[in-house]
Parts: sequence; structure tokens; C-alpha cells
Amino acid sequence: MATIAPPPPLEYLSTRDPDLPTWSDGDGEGDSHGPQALPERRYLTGLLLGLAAVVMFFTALTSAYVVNQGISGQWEQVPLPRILWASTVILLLSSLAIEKARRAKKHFGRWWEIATLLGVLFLSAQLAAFRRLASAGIYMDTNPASSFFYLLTGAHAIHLLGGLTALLYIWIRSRREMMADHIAVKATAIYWHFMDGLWLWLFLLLLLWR
Amino acid sequence: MTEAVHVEPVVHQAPQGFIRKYIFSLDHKVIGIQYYLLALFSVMVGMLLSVLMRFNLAWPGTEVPILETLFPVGAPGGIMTPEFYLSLMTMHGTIMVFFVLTTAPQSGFGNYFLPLQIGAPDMAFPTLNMLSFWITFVSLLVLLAAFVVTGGAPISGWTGYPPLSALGEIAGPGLGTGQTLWVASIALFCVASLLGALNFITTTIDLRTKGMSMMRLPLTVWAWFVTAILALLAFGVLLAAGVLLLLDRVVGTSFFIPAGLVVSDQMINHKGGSPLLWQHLFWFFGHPEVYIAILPGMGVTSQILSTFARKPIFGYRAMAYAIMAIGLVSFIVWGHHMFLSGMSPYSAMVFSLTTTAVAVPSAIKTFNWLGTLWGGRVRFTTAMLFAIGFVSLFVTGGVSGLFLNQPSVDIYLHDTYFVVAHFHMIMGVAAIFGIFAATYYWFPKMFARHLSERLGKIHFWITFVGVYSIFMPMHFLGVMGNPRRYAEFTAFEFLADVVPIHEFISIAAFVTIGAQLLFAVNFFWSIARGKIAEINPWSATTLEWTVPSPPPHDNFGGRAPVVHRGPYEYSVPGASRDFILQSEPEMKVVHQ
Repeated sequence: MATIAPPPPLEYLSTRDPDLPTWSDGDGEGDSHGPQALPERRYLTGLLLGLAAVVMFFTALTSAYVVNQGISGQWEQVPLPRILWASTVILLLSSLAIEKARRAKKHFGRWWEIATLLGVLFLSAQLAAFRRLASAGIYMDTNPASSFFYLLTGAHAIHLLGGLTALLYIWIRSRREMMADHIAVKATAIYWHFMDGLWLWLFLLLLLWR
Repeated sequence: MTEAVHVEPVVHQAPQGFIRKYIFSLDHKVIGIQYYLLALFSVMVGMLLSVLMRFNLAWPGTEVPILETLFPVGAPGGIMTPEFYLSLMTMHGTIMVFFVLTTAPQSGFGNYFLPLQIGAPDMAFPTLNMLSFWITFVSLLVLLAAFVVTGGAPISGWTGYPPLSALGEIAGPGLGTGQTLWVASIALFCVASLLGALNFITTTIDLRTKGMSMMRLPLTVWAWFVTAILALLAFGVLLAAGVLLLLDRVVGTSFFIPAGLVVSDQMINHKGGSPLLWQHLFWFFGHPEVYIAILPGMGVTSQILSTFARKPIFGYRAMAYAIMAIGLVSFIVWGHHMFLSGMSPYSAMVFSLTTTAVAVPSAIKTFNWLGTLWGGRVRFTTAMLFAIGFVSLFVTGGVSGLFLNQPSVDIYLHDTYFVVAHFHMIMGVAAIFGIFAATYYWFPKMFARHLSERLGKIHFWITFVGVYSIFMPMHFLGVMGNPRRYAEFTAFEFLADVVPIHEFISIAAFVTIGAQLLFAVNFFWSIARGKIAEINPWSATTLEWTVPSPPPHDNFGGRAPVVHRGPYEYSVPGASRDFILQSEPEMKVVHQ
């Protein structure tokens, strides 16, 4: 006759156990949990999910742009300020500088500084574009096309401002410590390149879908 | 019952100060309870509003002096104006959908139990978690503030359709500051929900303990996980719509306002927008939102039916895939809310077909629940009763959906009480039953005491009979052509027959709402005085039942459980008892 032995005691792993890759390292936020730290890769997962939400946000705006342009009846095209070409190049260069920084570990700080300044320059160029339109009497509430122009570029600028804050933060930290391999650098780089791609998308949309 | 649980809890550095521990806490369990209490408060406000509405619908024109004291503009002489009725309806819908149905099942119970059930010490981003809650809190305050500003609360419904919601004060009372506050509140809620969703998904992906493969997740976790994905993809779109509406109202753009609009004999200075655009954006969010409200209830129901039938859930994989399928399909059905918007019959047919397809995974779930009950040794605890009630309401509400998804039928029924009955059954009451089931089930874990089963069963039966008494007759009202959103029906001869039905519904509503006081008393009394609960009072299998009640600050005492098996191993043949914990190692067969 076969019977089953009473249940054995439950098994637990120390969070330092190599069998438990989930919690192999930790930092910052997990500290309130003592030895049990949260894994670093959650930052990248979280970032990618955040970007998915950003994609949905801009997809909604894009479809609104396309639909309204089709049915509005009062759509008057906005002349695109030529400075937008310059800002596009500036943003691409800043992405390049970030990659340069991540590879040139010794001169990380210098390249990162350049990327940050280019980011500031990009925002200034966008502001200049707004001023150019405003001086031509085209404001956000002038007509549906101008509303969408300010909306799309403005929403991008706000998202980019978040990235710029991260760039500045890392720049300041990099003066005191080695940052090149830090998870925050990787995350910021991904976010910044994404903002780059998003801008190209919006710029092409404004340029070609008219 | 708990002899196998050799847990020696070690609490690590739990914050001691009151503010860090209970107010700005980073602990997912405290945040979960905060969300739950926020939803409890909101549901009381929402129910109060429905009492006022039901009173007016059954006995219009009756003087209620206290109304005049509270709302001198909305109810002059103690008799509410039709506009005031609409503001009550708007606020009732908004509060219930966002701050109750979205908040309690997902943010409340999900926060508390998702990390516990996957063997994690906390959510992936505790600070973000705290931020989500406090943004939700501010969002609720901003919404409630609409009651006390000039003009009062908005009257454009929880769907906030423009141009009504976009034009400002000129369009009606409550459409000035009140409506602006409403939009701001929704935008804040979107941000909070996005942060929350991001946290839930990351936690499920990255923080599962050793051995907790995706196909060993409790179905509750599957439901929270898929719900979070829906929220992540849907709330971004609602946020975009909210920003556009806010710009229309504040900056003077015309995203949703067409040209040539004349309101109150005044030409509106807007041009070139489309109110339909809002409907598309809103319902692209709005339909997944329905599943955001109901999926967690499905997860809880699966968990509870299995526990109290003492049987493995019938068709675990099919249940997990059905949740994913419902989530996926929810993004391609939004047009069925807009059959009356003048859309092409061909588009309507496509949306009708995709909507009908929802019946397939829904039926899979229902049959599997029944299959789980079939032949089980059912323990009729209060949690079990509410879970069975959930299945009942889900079927009833789902069947009326099969009428409404036919565009030709919907054209007749869309603006009638049939729709009110449908969505209250399936989205409102079913989800509420899920919340109750979860509360009765997990209360012993959260507060180390039991809710009173006797009071709980009385609560269940009054509520169950009550909600059917309220919402079943509404189907007939709808078929009779009784329009929804009206403050009273006395002016219509063809509706003379419906007045007694409305009186019956109102009385049923008051009794049902009164019965909720039993729950409130039971809840707060039991926290202090309830019967002491063991670690695993229901002899359940998932990880939260292996830790002390309430679980220590870091859940598993600085260690991680190892998972060896699936979540629903009940009545396994040959086992020494009728449940096997997920973290119990393989058992050895001893030959004698």
C-alpha cells in the first residue's frame, strides 16, 4: 500500500542565493526592505512600458490630426518655420553625442555635456519656431491646423523636457562619479533616442501629411 | 491546517513614524488599503447621489427641504431641477466608474495581493506606487470640488460628450468651472492609472519568485496583469482626449467644436472641429475601461470558486488565454458605443461582429466556472456566495449585451433604460460583487480577523435579490421605450404605465443601499472585534496564505519562497490533505 508522507517544510531562498536571479542586486528604492532588494532590470522594463504609453498618447494625437484634417473644412495649412530643419539636425546630433559618451568612457562627461547642451539648443529652436509663427499672427487658436501644430510640437517638447532633466541630473552626477555604465545612463539614452524618433515622426507628419 | 508553514517573520526596517507608515507609505499593502478606503468613501458618495436620483425618478416634484439647504441653486424650494438631476447623474457615473470600479479591484486588491501572490517583497517601484495613490486622491478632490463651485457640477454625463462639454458656461449650468474641474480630474486620474499600470506590469514580469512561471500564476494575477496592460494602452488615449478638451475649453482651440454652432441664440466663435473625434478617442479608452473594471472580478471569482469547491479551476490555461483574448478584443469593439453617431452600416457591422466575438472567451470563462463547481464539495462561505453571484450577474449582464451588439436593435434600445440595465449589471454590480467577494475572502489576511459570516450572508442575500429587483425591471422599461438620462417622465403619456415600476425600483434601491450599512458595520466592527483568523483559514494554496496575517513589512521576512506547483491543487488524489500550497516541495510516496 502506498501512502503519502506528511508535507515537508516549505522551502525558502535567501535573497542572496545565486539560484534567485530575480533579486541578484539592488539599489535605492529597495532599501526599505532590508536585505531583500529589487532587481535593477525593472528600470528598463518600466521605461519600455512608459514608452508604450507615450506611443499610445501620440498615436491618439496623430489619428486626431489625420481625421480632423480630412473633415474639418476650415483647415488652413501652417507654413512650417524653416528653423525646424535645424532643430531636427540638432536633436540627431545630441543623440549621437550620447552614444559617443557611452562608448568613450573616459570622456563620458564631456560628450554628455555636449548632448545636454544640444538638447537645450533644440528646445530653444522649437521656441524660436513658435515665435516665428506668432509673429506671423498664427496662434494656437487661429485655425485647426495651427492648433495641431502647436499641440504636436508642444507635447513633444514637454516629453523632451523630462529627458533633459534626466540628462542634467546625470551630467551633475558624472562630475563626482563614474556614470558610463550606470543603469540611469542606459535608460536616459533609450528615452532620448525615442524622443528623437518621435520628433522625426511628428516632423514628417507635419511636413508630408498636408 | 497550517502545520506546514514554517515561517519566521523578520521585519526589516519598517518605517516607524505615523506619516511614513500610514500616510506616505511605500508599502504596497498600506497603499492597497488606502486605495480600498478611497473607493469605499467614493462608493458611499456615489450611492448617495443615486438615492437622490431614484427619489426624483419615482416621486418627481416632491419637496425635500434638506435639498434646498444643501443645494440652493440645484433644488430651489426643495425640488430638484432637471439640470441638477443631470449633474447628479454625471457625478454618479464618473465617481463610480473611475474611483470605485477602476480603483478597488485593481489598485486596491491588486496592490495588496499581487506582490504577495508572486512571492515578491513589494511592487517594482514603491515610490511610484505611492505617487499613483496620491495623484488619484488629488484627482478625487478636484472632482468633488465641482459640487461647490459656481454653477455646480457638470451635466454632460460621465462620457463628457462635446460640444456640450467643450463650450463653457454658455451651454448650461455646471459647464463652466465645474466641467473644467471634471476634465482636470480625469486627466490626473489618467496619469495616476498609467503609473499604476506600469508598476503592475513590471512587477509581474520582473519580480516573480523562483518557480513562479507564468503558467503557475494565480488567475487573480493574470487578471491584474492583463488589466494593467489594458490600462497602460487605454489611459494614454483618454489623456490625449482630455488634453484636447481642456485646450478647447481654456485656450480656445476647436478640436471638438464644429463651425457655425449657435447656442442660446449666440454664434459660437469656434470652427473646424469634430465632436465625433471625441467619441472615437473616448470609446477607444471607454471599452477597455469596462474590462479594466470587470477582469479583476473574474480573477477573484476563479480563485474563490476553486478554493471553496475544493477543486482545481477547470481549464486553467483556457482561463488565462480567455483573459488575454478578452483584453485583446476589447480594443476593437469601441464602435458599438457609437451605432447612433451616423457611422456607416458597414463599419457598424464590423464592430458588431467583433463585439459578438467577445462572447466566445466570456462563455469559456463561464463554462469553466460552472465546471469548477460541478461535483465540488462546495463550502458556501460569504465570499463563495458573492463569487457565485458574480457569475450570475455576469451571465445576465452579458446576455443583454447580445441584444445591444446588433446595430438594428441598438438603434431602438440605445437611449433607453435597457442600456442602463445592461451596463449596471455587467460592469457595475458584477464588479461590485467581485469586490465584495475579494473583501470577504482576503479580509482575514489583511486584518487577521474574520468578517462576521452571519452578517455577511444577510448582506449577500439582500444585495443579490436587491440588485436583480433594481435592474431586471429596467430591461422592460427599455423595451417599452423609456428614455434614459431624463429627470422625470410625468410629461409623457405613453410612459404613464412606467411610473409604478420606477417606484418599485426606487424602493428596491433604498433597501439594497440600506443593506450596505450592514457591510460597513461588519467591516469596521470586524477590524477591531472580529473572530481571530488563522494564517490560512480557507485552506487555500496560493503564497499569501503562507505568511502571517497581516503580512510583515517585506512580506516574506527577507527571504523568497520557492514555488513548486500550480495555484489550484485541491483534492489531489493520494495527498494527505485536500490542498497543497504552491510552495510545498514534491511529496514523497512512502511504500509500506
